[in-house]
Amino acid sequence: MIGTDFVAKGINVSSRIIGGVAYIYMEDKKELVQFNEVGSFVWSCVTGTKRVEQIVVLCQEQYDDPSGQIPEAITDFLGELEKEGFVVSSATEFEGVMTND
Amino acid sequence: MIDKIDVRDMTGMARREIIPISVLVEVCYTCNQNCVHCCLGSHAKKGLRLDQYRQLFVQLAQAGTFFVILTGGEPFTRPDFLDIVKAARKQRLSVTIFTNGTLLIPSIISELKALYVQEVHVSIYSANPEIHDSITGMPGSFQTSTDNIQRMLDEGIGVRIKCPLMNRTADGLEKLKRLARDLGVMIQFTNVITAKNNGDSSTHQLRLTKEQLGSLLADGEAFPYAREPVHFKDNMDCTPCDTVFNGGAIDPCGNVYPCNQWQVKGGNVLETPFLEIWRNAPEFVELRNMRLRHLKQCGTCDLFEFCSRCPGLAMLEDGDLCGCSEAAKSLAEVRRGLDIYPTQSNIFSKI
Repeated sequence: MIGTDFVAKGINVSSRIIGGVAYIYMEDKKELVQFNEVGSFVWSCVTGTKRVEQIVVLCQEQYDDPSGQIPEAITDFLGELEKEGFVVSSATEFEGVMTND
Repeated sequence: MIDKIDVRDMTGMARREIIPISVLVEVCYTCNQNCVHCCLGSHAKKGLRLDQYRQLFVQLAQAGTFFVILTGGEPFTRPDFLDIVKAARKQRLSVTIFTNGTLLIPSIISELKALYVQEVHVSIYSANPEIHDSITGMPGSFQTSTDNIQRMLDEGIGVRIKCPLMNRTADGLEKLKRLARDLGVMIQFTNVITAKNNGDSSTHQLRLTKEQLGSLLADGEAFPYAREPVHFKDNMDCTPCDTVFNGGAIDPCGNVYPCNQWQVKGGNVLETPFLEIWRNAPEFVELRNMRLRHLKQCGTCDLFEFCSRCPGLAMLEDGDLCGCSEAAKSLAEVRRGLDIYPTQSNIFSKI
């Protein structure tokens, strides 16, 4: 995954954001997880229509980042999500057949 | 940033926040079988239109619903049922399907796999094909259903067998467990044969006898039980059931209930948005204010700790939401004789 890639939630996940907390069920792994506040915000940005670098900017707008760690932390987090099968990335925008939370 | 959680963490949160986290949607009452124990008084209702289900799932997502159970009747009698599943998945709802499994042609099974449904629950009543078919009224149904279970498993779809036991099938418990083991699926038994949803109690004659219940309830594998009571009379401020906080059921006409067995209508999704019904229907608000202490006999009943009373069934079968449920009482008597108690999960109420 690189900064210009678009990111979408995997078709294998069910998810809902309730009270600012993202709950995600991996249908293939039968695993239920919740994200912390920042993770939930990132998850809300994963719509298939935003690039990694755009999500980073949205996080910078949302949270203070005096030490400048957000770009690397968010990019790493999205990479981890892709590795674990929560999200998929593509050089082109997703059609968005399953974009709602 | 990621924490694994148990589904009970989520349902507990939903209960506190009054979020209908798991909603049962009956997409039709039509069925291709004619089961002797069926709880439906009529099979005429064909369900809402596909576009109405699309709207409904948007509303459920907005209400915070995470899990939907799609059932009938037999949901696959609807030619557009897969489109209904797609509409639910489009809203990222986790979908479980209740079916008799007889209409699952290979192309449907492939689609279910591609849609990542959470689980498909198939009703099997006996490991003896003749007995199963005599219950469904459909010759060959056992073979078709079990063949399709195997096909789904081959595709990697999660399958569970659901089995309501009746007096004519009780002696086949071990064979049913073996069938499930051989197939490699979980099997979920129930001793509950309810009256029909129109109040017709003719199905009660199919219920397990007390002797059969005594033998079956002692089988902790089939019917999990607790060795110590988890249900105390000093918890009388608890609610009789959680489903009116974190559940919900919608019938084929769009009527909203706390549960498909708890026939208190809060409204209709064709007239009022689901969330408004769920949060504000006076009928539901009143049910949420119900406490165990409001139940007429429970506080003085010496079977209390053994009882897993369902308020919906008490209302449907005994005509009194706050009264004694004869079916629950009968079961509690058997548990007391065995010195076993219901588990937290089959009491349902928040303790």
